[in-house]
Amino acid sequence: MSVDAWLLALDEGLQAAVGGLELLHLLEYPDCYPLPGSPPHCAVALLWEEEVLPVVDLGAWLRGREMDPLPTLAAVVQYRVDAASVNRGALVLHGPPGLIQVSNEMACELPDSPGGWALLAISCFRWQHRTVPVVDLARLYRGDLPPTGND
Amino acid sequence: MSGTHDYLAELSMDGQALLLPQPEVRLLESVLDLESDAAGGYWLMGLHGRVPVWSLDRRLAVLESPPPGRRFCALLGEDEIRFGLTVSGFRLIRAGECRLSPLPVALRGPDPVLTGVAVLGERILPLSDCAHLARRLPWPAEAVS
Repeated sequence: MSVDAWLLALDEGLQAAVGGLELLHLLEYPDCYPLPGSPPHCAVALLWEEEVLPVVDLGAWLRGREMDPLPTLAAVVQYRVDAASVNRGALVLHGPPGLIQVSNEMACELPDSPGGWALLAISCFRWQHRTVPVVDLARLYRGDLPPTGND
Repeated sequence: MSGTHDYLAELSMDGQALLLPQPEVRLLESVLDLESDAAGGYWLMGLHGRVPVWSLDRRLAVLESPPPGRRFCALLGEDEIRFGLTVSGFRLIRAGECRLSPLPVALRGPDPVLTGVAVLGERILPLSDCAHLARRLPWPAEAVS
C-alpha cells in the first residue's frame, strides 16, 4: 500500500516529508511579522485566512542558525493535535514541494545527523537515494523544542 | 493576554512596533531630558524620583545608549515598577480596531516577553505589558531598592 506525501526542501541539502493532506497552501514572499522574544527558528508570524500562524524554519533549527525573517516561500500546513482538533502553522521552504508516493518498503533508519531528527521525525524513507524523514508537525509546533537541533 | 482596555499604545523602536495597554504609558518626555550616570545608566527625573530608562533593539534586547532616531522617552508602569523606554514613535490605537489573539505556543520561547498578538488590518503586532518587559531589564540596585 502506498500513500501520498509532500517532499519538502528545507534548505540546499535537507529534505523532509509531510503527509499528503498536511500541506494546505503555498505562499510566495509572504508578509511576515517579527515577534520579539520568539525562538530563532520561529521568529515571525504570518496571517492566513485571518489566523495568526507561527512560521518555522526547520532547516534553520536543524542547522543551528537563525531563520531569515523574510522567507521567499512558505507552506501552510495542518496537523492533528488530538481526536477533535486540527491546528495550522507555516513552514519555510527553499523550493516548491513535490507530491510523491511512499510505501512501507521504502522505510529506513533515521539519519544520524542532524541530531534533531530524533526529536521530530515519526518515520523515515529512502527516495531517489536520499533519506527523507517524515516530520511530526504536532511536535514541531508544540513550542518545547530545544534551542537547536544541531547537537 | 493583557486585560481589556479601550486603547492600546503602539511604541516604535527601530521599525519594530510594540503594543502596550494604554494606561501603562504614563508620560512622554523628550530624550533631551534624560540624564546619564558614570555607570552608563540613563535616568529620567520625575515626581516619583529617578526613573531608570533603557533603549531596546528590535528584539527587545537592551542597548548601551539610545540609538539615533529615538526622540522620545515613554514613562511606563505602575508605582512599583516604573521605568522608561526610548522610542522613535508613539500612537494610540483603538482596541476595537484590533483583533487580539494569544501568542501561538511555537512563538513563545523559554521566557516570553509577549502576552499576545494584535491583528490590525493586514499587520500582526506584538503585544506585551510592563510586568513582562520589566522582568527582562537589568535593574540598577538603586531602582530596585
